[in-house]
Amino acid sequence: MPETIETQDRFEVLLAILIALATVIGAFVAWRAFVAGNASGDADFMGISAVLASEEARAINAVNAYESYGAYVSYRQYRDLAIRLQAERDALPEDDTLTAARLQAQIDLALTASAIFQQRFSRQFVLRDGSYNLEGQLNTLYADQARQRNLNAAPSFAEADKQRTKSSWLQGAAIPLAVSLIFFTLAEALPKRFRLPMLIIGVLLLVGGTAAFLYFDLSIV
Amino acid sequence: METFNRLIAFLIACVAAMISVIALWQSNSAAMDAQASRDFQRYGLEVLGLRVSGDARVNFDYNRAVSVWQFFDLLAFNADQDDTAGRARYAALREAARQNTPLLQPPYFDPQAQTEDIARYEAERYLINLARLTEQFSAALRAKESWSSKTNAYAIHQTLLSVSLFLLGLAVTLANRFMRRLFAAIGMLIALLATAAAFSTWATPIRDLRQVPDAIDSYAEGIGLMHQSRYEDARVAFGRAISAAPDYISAYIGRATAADALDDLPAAIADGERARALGDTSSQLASSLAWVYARVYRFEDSLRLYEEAVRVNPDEIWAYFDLGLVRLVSGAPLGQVRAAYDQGAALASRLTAERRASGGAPPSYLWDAFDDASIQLDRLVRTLREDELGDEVFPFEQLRGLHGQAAAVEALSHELKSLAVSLEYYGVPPTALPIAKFSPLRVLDAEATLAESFASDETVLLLQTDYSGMRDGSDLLIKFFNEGTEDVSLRVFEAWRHGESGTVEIEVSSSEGGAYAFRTGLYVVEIYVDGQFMASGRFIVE
Repeated sequence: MPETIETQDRFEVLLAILIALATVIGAFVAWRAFVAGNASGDADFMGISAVLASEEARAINAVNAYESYGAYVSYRQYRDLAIRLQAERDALPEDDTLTAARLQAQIDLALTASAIFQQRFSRQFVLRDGSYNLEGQLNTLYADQARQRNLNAAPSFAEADKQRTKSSWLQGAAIPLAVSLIFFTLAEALPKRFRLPMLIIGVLLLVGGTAAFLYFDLSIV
Repeated sequence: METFNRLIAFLIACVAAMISVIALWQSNSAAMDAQASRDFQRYGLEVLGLRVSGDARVNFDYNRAVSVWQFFDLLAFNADQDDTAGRARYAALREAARQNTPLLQPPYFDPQAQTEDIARYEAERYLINLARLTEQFSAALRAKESWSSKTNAYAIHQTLLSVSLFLLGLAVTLANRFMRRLFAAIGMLIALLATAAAFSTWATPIRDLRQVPDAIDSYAEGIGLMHQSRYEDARVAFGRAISAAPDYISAYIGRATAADALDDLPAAIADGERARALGDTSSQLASSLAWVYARVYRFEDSLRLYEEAVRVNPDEIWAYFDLGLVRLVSGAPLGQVRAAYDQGAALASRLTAERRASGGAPPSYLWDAFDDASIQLDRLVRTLREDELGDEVFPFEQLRGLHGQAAAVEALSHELKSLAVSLEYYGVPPTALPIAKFSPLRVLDAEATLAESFASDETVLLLQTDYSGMRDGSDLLIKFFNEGTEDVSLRVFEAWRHGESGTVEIEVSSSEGGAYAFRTGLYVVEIYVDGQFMASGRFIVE
C-alpha cells in the first residue's frame, strides 16, 4: 500500500514537471514566434523604403533622361538640317553666289541652334550610329542611385515572407504543446488504467511539438 | 468534488489548447494582413512612379519628337513650288525625325494619313499598366481590411476564451456547490460560443481580386480602350472582367461609363445601379448616375441620387447645381430650385472665405462649377425661347412646366454669374443690386461692320453696347466662352473710362498683338461691372 502511494506521488510529480515543461516550452515558442513576426515587419519596412527610393529614382531619372533626349533630338534636328544645307551648298555652281550666301546664312543659324542644344545632353549616351541610347542612360542613372541607396525591395520582401512563414510554423508548433496539456490533465483525472496511455500521448505531443519548434526555429533563419 | 475538479481541469486544458489554435489562426491572418498592407503600399508607390515616368515619356514623344517631325513637315509643305531641293531636304529630314519616337512609327503612325494615334500610344505605353496597378492597389487595400477584421475577430475570441478560463478557474475555488456549477456552466458556454465563432471566422473566405484570373487585366484593358474612345470594345473588356468577378464594382462603373458614351442609357443605369448595390456609396457614382437618370427623364430617381450625393459629400458643389437644374427641369417649385443653388452658392462663399483667410486662392474648380451651372441654365433659356442653340438634353417639349419662365431662369443664371465673379475678384458675394444698365452686346469686325459670324483669321473684334448709370474707375470684366469653356487668354479686366452713359466699342484682339486667330465655334461674351453681370452677346468663328 505505501508503495502504491509512493508510486502515485511520483506519478503526480512527474505530471507536474511535464505540465510545467510544456508551459515553459510553449512560452518560449510564443516568444520566438513573436520575434519572427517582428523581424518580418522590419523587413517589410525595409522593402517599402526600397520601393519608395526605387520609384523616386525611376521618376526623376525618367524626367531627366527625357529632357536630355529632347535636347539631343533638337540638336539632331538642327545638325541634320545644317548637314543637308551644307551638301546643297557644296553642290552649287561656283557662280551662284546668291544662293550660296542664302544657304550659308541658314547653315550658320542651324549650327548655332544645334550648338546650343548640344550642351544640354551627355555625349556618353550617343551611339556610334548617331542614335541616342535612352535605355542606357536610364540604366546608368538607376545604377548610380543604387550605389547610394538600397533600391532593391525583393530581398527584403523575401525575408519578410520567410519570417512570416517561420512565425506561423512556430505558432503551429505550439499547438501540440498546448494539446499535450490536455493529455497530462487527463492522465491525472482519468482512472488508473488510462493514465499511462494518456501520459504517453502527452509526452509524444510534448516531444513532437518541441522537435517541430527546434526544427523550424533553427532551419528558417 | 474530486471528479468535478478533474473535469474543470480538463476543460481548462481544452480551452488553453483552443486558445493556441486561435493564436495560430490569428498569427496567419495577421501575416496576410501585413502582406496585403505591404502590397498596397508598394502598388501605391509604383502607381506614382509609373505615372511620372509615363507622363515624362509621352510628353517627350508628343511635345518634342512629334514637334520636330511637324517642324520639317511644315517646312516641306511651305517650301516654294520651284524649290524642289528645299522640299526634298525637309521631306528627308521629316522622315529621319520619325526615328526619334515609336509614336511616329507603326502601329501608332498612319503613313497614309500622316497622323499619330496618341491615345493608343498612351494607353499601351503606360495607362493600361497604371490602371492595373491602381486596381491591384485597391484590391490589396480591401484584402488588408478583410484580414485585419479577421485578426481583430480572433483577438475577441481569445479574450472570450480567457474569460471562460477565468470563470472555470473560479469554479474550482468556490465553496458553494450551486455557484461552482453556475460558474462552470457559464465558462463552458462562453468557451463554446467563442470556439464556434472562431471556427466561423476561420471558415469565412477572404476575397482578393488579384487572385481572380483575368479580372483586373480585362478591366485595365477596358480603361485603355476607353482612353482611345473605343467604347464598344471597352464594354466587351469590362464585360469579361465582370464575368471573371461578378462583384467587381469598378468594372460595372467602367461598363456604365462606356454605355453612357455609346448613348445606351438603360445599360448605363443598370450597371450603375449594380455598382451601387454592390456597395459603392460614393457621391461621384451617385451624381453620375443621377445625370443619366435625368437624361432619360426619370427625375424622381435623379433627384433621389443627387440628394444622396450631397448628403454623402456636402462639399460637392457640382451636385448642388445639378440638383437645382434637375429640380428646375422636373417642374419643381422655383423655391426648391433656388434652395439647391443657394446651398451651392453658400458652399462656394464659405470655401472662398476659408481659403482667403488662410492666405490662399480659392480653388479654381469653383469657377468651373459656376460656369457649368450658368451655361446649363443659359441653354435652358435658349430652349425656352425656342432658340436654335437650345439644349439637346432637355428639349422644349420636355420643359412644359417651365414654359413662360425663361426670364426667371435667366435671372437665376445671371445671379450665379455675378456671384462667381464677385467671389473670384472680391472674395465676397455681391452686396447691392447693379445700378448700371447695358444693352445686349453687338459684335463688329475690325472695319466696324456688325456681324454674327467671322472668319477664323479675324484677329480683332469690336464689342459694342449702349450703357447708362456707369462711373469711371469701376471694374470692367469681359469673359469669352468658346463652345462652353472660357478662353481665359481673352479675358479683359480694366477700369471703366467711358463716362456715365453712351455707346462704347471695346476692341478685343484674339491674343496679345493679335498673333493668333480665334478658335472656331460659338463664342459667348459676357460683360461684368464691379462683379455684377451686365450683358452678353455671341458670335461664331468659322
